[in-house]
Amino acid sequence: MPRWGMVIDLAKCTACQACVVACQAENNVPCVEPEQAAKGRIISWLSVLPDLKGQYPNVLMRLMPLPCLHCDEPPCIRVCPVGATGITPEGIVRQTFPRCIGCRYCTNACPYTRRSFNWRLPDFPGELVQALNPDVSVRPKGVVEKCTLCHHRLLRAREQARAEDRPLAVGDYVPACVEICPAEAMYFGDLEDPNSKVSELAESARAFRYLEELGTEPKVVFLSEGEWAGGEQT
Amino acid sequence: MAFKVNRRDFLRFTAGGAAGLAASGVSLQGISTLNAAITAGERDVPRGPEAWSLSVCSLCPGGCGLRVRTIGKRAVKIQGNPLHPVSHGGLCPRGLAGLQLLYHPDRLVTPLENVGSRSNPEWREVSWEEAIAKVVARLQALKDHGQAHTLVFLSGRSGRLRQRLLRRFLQAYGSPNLLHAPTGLDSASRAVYLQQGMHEGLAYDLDRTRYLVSFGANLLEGWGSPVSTMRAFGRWRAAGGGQRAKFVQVDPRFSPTAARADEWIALRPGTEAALALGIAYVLITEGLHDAQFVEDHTFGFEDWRDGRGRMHMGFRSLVLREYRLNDVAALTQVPVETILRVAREFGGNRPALAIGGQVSSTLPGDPRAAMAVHSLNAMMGSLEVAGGALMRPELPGDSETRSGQGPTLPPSILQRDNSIFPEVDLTHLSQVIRSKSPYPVQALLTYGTDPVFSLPNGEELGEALQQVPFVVSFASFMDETAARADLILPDDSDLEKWQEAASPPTFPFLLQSISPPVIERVHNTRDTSEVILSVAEALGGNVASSLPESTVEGFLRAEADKILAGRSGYTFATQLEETWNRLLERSGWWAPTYSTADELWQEMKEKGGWWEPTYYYGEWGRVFRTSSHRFEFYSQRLAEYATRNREQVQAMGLDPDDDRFCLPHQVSLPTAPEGFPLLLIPVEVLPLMGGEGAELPYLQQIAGAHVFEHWESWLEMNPATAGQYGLQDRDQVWIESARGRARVRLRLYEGVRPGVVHLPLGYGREQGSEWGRRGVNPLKLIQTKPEPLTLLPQVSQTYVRVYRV
Amino acid sequence: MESKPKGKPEDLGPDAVLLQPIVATRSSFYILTMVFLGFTSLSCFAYLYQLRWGLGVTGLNVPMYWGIYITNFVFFIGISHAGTLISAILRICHAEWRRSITRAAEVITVIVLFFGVGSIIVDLGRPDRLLNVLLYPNFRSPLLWDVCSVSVYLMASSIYLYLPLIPDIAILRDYGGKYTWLYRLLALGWSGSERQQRILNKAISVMAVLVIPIAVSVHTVVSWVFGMTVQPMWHSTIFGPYFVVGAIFSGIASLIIAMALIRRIYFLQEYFKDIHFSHLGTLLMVFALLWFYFTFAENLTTFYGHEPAHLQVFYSKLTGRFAPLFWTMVVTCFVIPAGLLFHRRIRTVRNTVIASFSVLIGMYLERYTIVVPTLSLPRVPSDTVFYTPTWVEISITLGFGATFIFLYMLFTKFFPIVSIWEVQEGRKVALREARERIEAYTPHPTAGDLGTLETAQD
Repeated sequence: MPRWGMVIDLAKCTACQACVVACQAENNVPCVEPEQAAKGRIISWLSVLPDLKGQYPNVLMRLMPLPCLHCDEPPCIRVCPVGATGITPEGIVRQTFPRCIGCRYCTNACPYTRRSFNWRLPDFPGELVQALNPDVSVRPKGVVEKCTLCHHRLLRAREQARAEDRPLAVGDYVPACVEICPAEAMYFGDLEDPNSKVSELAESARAFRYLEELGTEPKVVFLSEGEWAGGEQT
Repeated sequence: MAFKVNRRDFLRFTAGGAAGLAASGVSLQGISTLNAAITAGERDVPRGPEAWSLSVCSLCPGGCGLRVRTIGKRAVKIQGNPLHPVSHGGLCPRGLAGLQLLYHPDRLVTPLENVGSRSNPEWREVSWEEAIAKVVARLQALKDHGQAHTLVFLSGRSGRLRQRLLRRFLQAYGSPNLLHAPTGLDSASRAVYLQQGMHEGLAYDLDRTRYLVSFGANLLEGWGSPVSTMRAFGRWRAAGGGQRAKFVQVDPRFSPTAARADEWIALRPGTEAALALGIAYVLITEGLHDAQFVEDHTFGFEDWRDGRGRMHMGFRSLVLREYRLNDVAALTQVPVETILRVAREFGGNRPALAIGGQVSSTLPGDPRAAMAVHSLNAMMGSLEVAGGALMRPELPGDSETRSGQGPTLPPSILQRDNSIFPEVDLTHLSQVIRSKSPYPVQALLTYGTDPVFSLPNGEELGEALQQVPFVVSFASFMDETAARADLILPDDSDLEKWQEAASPPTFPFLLQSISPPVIERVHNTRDTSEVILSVAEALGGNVASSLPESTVEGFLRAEADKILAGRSGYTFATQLEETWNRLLERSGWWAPTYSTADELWQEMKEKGGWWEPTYYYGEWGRVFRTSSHRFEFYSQRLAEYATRNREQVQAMGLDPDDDRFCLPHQVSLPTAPEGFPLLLIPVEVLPLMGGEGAELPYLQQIAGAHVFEHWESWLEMNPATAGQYGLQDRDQVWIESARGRARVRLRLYEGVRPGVVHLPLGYGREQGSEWGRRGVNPLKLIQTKPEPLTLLPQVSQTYVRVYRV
Repeated sequence: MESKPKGKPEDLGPDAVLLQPIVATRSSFYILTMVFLGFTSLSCFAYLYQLRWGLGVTGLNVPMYWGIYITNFVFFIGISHAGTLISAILRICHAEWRRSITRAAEVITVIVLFFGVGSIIVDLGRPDRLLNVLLYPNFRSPLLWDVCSVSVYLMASSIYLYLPLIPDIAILRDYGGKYTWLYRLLALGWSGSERQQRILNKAISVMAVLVIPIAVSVHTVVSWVFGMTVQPMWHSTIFGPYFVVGAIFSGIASLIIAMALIRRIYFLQEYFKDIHFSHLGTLLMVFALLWFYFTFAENLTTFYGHEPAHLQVFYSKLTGRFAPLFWTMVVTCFVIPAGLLFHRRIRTVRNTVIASFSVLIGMYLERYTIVVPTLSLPRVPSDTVFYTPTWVEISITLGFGATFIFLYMLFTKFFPIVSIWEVQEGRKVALREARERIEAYTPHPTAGDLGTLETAQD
């Protein structure tokens, strides 16, 4: 049984937010109207969050792409009164949209604020509805939604592999954000497999788990920015 | 109190209320429909058979390869073409947003004719036949009256082959005026022209550089070919990929690029040249520069004596004399230790590369600073080496289009006598139109650019357009220029037409992408090239015969065939194949997978294009077109100009006898006028790169992520500065320059230099999609001054005041 | 218990005044009803509007997913502790002064609970899927614990309200006014026989004992909705008792206000005497002190622990955006009640009522400053977003308040708001019982002058 995980190398990340848009397009995440956005109603499964420290000119800023971290100990699924969210055997924290009653307890329990709520009916004005991905349902209003690690891609990849009568190969299943990253700063794979790139990176010296002290055991691991080693060339 | 209510009244009242409520829909029946109301408007996703096809992104000049997923007749997802040498399967958010462009509810869907006035347009839908007939009639009339040269075609980004089509059309028609929108790299290109004698093709081998100093180039926010740059950035920091390259960002603002750099050097705005020369000072005094390269391939490093026996100051003397560290540190406000350390690192890590700045991908930076920066590359021998600054070669057929074919044409409308450069940039067009000199503009066609919005003096151009009798726009959206046109002939969206692209800016390798349309047209639009072909055909005569192909595909095919004649390069391939091909090519072998033009064409369509994966270093004759056939620290082109045009030079406030005129140097800084204490520097954000994309919700949502802003302009200010003026975060403020004022929301950001404010570019449209008409266009506040030498607009010198609404 | 009350006003003696609200209705009742129902329909309209357009019509946003609906929930559930808990404790302690006030308190509990539950339903994005709570319950969720404990509480407190009501219903049945059929139904054939009386008393005492742990658990569970998350300043072990104390605090306050209004409107000064207010005022004072102790302990712990995530919420309350609300809360929850109630001389009825109003406002603010600041400052970097309730939320909140008052009013029109039989019983047995009790614990009771008590009976 694989345990899907992601590694995001902050040294390589350019904070371009291609992953953000890729995720939105792949998962039919609606863009909210400007008035709604101004009220803080943007739905984003993955966003790049700035963490600014210091004063000019001694400023540091970490720009961190933050998807759902698919914790092994997710604080969100415990609190759902109707079991609309849970964790699959492969470690994906799922959300069952048709069961969710919209109490938003999970959104409040998630210390990473990685869950979004459909404040209104998602709108795809005009022809924009044409661009919807048929593999992903459009959520109704009033339910919570979140990153699924592009679970539909896993289903497709499994189907494909089964049709070709072979096991799922490395790289068959990659979420949209990882696939698009221009700097190749995101890695995806099976954390259970000791030979996978992600398990190797997840154990590296630069690896850290965001808000690790909360004991959420995230499966999205970050690699810190690191520093230029420097030195004269010989 | 006379008012008394008894039980009966009360019951009557409540009964009435209940009836009222029932009437308003809250009856039992109403409740049963309540559930329907809760779930009202939910959508199902349409389905159909799936397919994947290739295309090319043209949302910026980056030219990334796309792989598009279609379901039935719909395009549902844009991804990267993993074979494409520019993007290797990666994309930036703009490319991904292409779908919103395609299916945008505010797209212009049919040709429109302005039946009102220019200032108060009224739009009527017309058929394509009617619209083309109108264009043909006007152009025919001009040509018949011998006014063909007064036709001006403004072209923004579009592929190489489409440019050839336009140029051939205009040449046959008789107009020299194929004008291009300015780009941010113009300052660097002009510097290269002065120092290397080349106009075009400046490229950087970012992938393999080991030390990069960017003097204000917004590398990760819309510089060059964004995806290719970001890919290089990723490779500098590849885990386990050898020693990490260092990236130093020199910038007054702690931009997201600076935040991602290994080191950020905050300097006083406008002093990039001084800092570059300060670094040169350290390199010279510590002997860190590549003396051999300087000796072999450069001119003007040492003092030299001209033919008439006059001694001239060389680069070394200038630097040693005038850019001592303490002086540079005082001017740039960068500590001496920092300059010293960075210079030593720069000198000790080769290949080291220095890149000059730009304000945005459409607004150039300071060309003098660019000269100083490029001089660092020459000092380090970082010209024509792996990881250095390169000059991209040309594709067979490129030069044909530049040398005039057909009838001899009058000079271009932007050509100036006694100019250092062949043409001035587009910001001068409005003045040309107004003064009708050298000749009036009788017809103006714009394609792929919205100069009224994006030029720093766009408003002026907008007014000047009133004097042009015939204006046609090929815009896909009602933009500021289209709104002033007589006719709008909406172009197809990228995925609906044949796509082709050349090597993007700063990309070192020769490349030609080609892809057939991905989906059928959604609306009644037409590929502009197709329209031009129709117009050419209708005009007949030599115009028609210069463009014999009847379809865009036919034209592209004919042009692509010329690639075969070059006898080099390969169609796009996997990395493994590429490595092998390179190896072969270096050893003098060329073994392409195609042998005929048909095969080449077929493969280009299947894989996305053709490219030349090998760069031939050390072709000095090709890359140094100066009179000394070397890199010139001391620009002899400038020297020659100064000798011939003493008055003009003096008019610039410069001394033609001063050697500094020909050498890179720091120009004096403007000072803040009374009452306007803050310097306004516009900034580019990647999602709205080039000032475009504001109508796309995907991009609006992410444009201001570093300050949590979306859908609106924000004015960046240092908290200390704000405190000084009693302003607070999120205040609505007026920002006022001598040109006018605008209302905007203030955001405090520690990354802003005290005394400076920043406004993002790309906001503040007044026309078109409601989604794009948000925020403030900083260009409307900016006073542009043309840089005396190059006449390029300088937009970072406007002083403003900011006060609460 | 020698004679069965006949139910005729003249048979009830002076207590007949207690039936007066049921017998006669003044026009002011209708006017008030119209006003309150006006608010009710406003909230209905607001809710329908919210159903149609989604929760986007509220001021809620990311990351402030909960706002005044949840504040209302906690607040209303808190008030519900008025009744049951206070009346139960007083009953168990045989506090004789309870007799005329228990009913008023118990009614608050039962009615307000509906609005507590209603607040949660109003807050749901998909109320149409409410049944999922029963179909797919997840017992790990504190919200489900809430569902369980609140429903048990609602049941228990309804029974606890109903049981002591039975003899009074029988009075109304025998009285023979309107809706006799209803009273006959509800009286369950009460005849006032000794056996019935014994069973009733037994049942009431059992319920009184039962209801206390349930009430305590309810508000503890409510606090756990917050406490079980890891969010800064929610994740606190003190929340259980803190919420219970706050609940009783606001419960007492609302009871005082209810009594003051009833006594004024229905001229029941004889039943709600100043001494009642004085006693409740003392109780309120005690809880003000307790509340302050908890608030102080909670904030000091956070401050001392100095965890950055907690600290930013802490400072947002003490000095930041929420400081005005926080300090108003401290003033209204502690300074004003303590100032008005600390001494017997200034603990007048008027001052007690003022203090109670102040406490209600303060406790509402307390709930608000618990729910909102934490959400506004998550651990991850986030935009500074402001939450302001919209007209929809305010209308629904006002509507809830108004409808609650209306239903309370309506109750007084159908049932006596003072327990007639208990008051009567009090006259007859209280002194004897008290004497027996006192004798039971007084050393050498016959040695002294216990007899003076008996003289007072005259």
